[in-house]
Amino acid sequence: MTHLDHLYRVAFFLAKNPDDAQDCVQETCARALSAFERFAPGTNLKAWLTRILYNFFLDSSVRNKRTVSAEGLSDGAEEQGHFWESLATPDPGPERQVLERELSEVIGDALKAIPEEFRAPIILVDLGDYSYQEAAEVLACPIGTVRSRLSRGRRLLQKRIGKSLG
Amino acid sequence: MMQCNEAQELITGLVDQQLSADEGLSIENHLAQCADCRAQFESETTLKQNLKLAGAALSVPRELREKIEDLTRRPESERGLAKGTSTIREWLALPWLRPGFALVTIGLVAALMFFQFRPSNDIGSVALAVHEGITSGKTTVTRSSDTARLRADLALAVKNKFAPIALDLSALKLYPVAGLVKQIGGREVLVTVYSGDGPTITCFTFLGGEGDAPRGSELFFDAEKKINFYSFTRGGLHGVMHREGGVICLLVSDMPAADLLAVARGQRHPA
Repeated sequence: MTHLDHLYRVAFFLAKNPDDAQDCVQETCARALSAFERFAPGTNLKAWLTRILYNFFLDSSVRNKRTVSAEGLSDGAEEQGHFWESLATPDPGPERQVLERELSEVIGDALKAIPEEFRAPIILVDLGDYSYQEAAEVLACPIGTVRSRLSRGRRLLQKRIGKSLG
Repeated sequence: MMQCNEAQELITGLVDQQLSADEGLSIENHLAQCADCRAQFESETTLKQNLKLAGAALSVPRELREKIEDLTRRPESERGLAKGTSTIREWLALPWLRPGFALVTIGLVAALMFFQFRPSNDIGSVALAVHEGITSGKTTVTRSSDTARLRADLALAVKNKFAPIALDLSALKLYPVAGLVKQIGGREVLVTVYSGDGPTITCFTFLGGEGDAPRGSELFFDAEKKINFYSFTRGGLHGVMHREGGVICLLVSDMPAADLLAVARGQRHPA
């Protein structure tokens, strides 16, 4: 299915754990299939799908009070274990594996600690490779707002990460 | 000359290569003169590269991919049928069911023809046409500089069963300047025109439910307010509908869809 990797990346970094990410993607696909007549041909399918996913995530976050925050980071080791099982690179080699693992841990922890409004644009644009236009459609806000939140969010992320990455 | 705090968002845009030519020129001029902002640009570029690396390393687990591919491959005809009778063709093969199918088919065709050729009651389409008529001057409206009076007159026209949604659009320099009452699909609809420095916004207020969401609209759920917003676009005009109790508020404008949605989300005034 087109854009499945994009959807999973976004869900993975939004949700608290890989199981929630998988549920989120599966529910998104089910909703998209049942509402496909509402998709306007010629518009951006990736943004439409991601918007369904993002709305479902927000909806379920409110319902289950499952907002991601700095709390609960002690569970991180187990989550990272799942993360490394799902890495695409078949055999990146031990040195690279260690480096990527450190990188991902640092990024994952820092992302969880910044507010949702700044986190979502980073997940979409930087981790999901969405354009500003696509991110604006998903978040239902003007492009200028995406850029300002991204700018602020990256500075918050840099502070969290410190000098280890940048 | 550009200040460093003004440069921050442009640095972000430059890192993402999403600046206009003018913006690109102005930030590059600033970076040529400012070592701190150059360092910020380098740092943000490195951060983005690392984030991209972390994102690209992630792919859909095979099990999930298979589940979804199976779901999408399955013909729609096989999704909702009872066990033991897997296809419509098998159903049709049962002789005793054929007359029933014929009657149902005739009924469905008749229903489709009725819905296809009946006058359009889609409130979204009518609202867009009304907005176009008002902005082009073809539709007559009652103008008033007295906002409270305009609102009271409109409410009176529907025997005070409901009042027009009152929007505060002063931040956009838009103010209620005119109104009218329309009958759309047998329902009374109060129309308020907000005009001023920006693009005109027409607000339609009527009694209804979420089933009035225009066909093809995209649903956005505002988690904070716990309200569904339905956004739709036709012929260069945009509409956003939401419900406040039993009252529907539908905004129509030619401003960008995302901006109109932001306007609708920024408001919440009970009728």
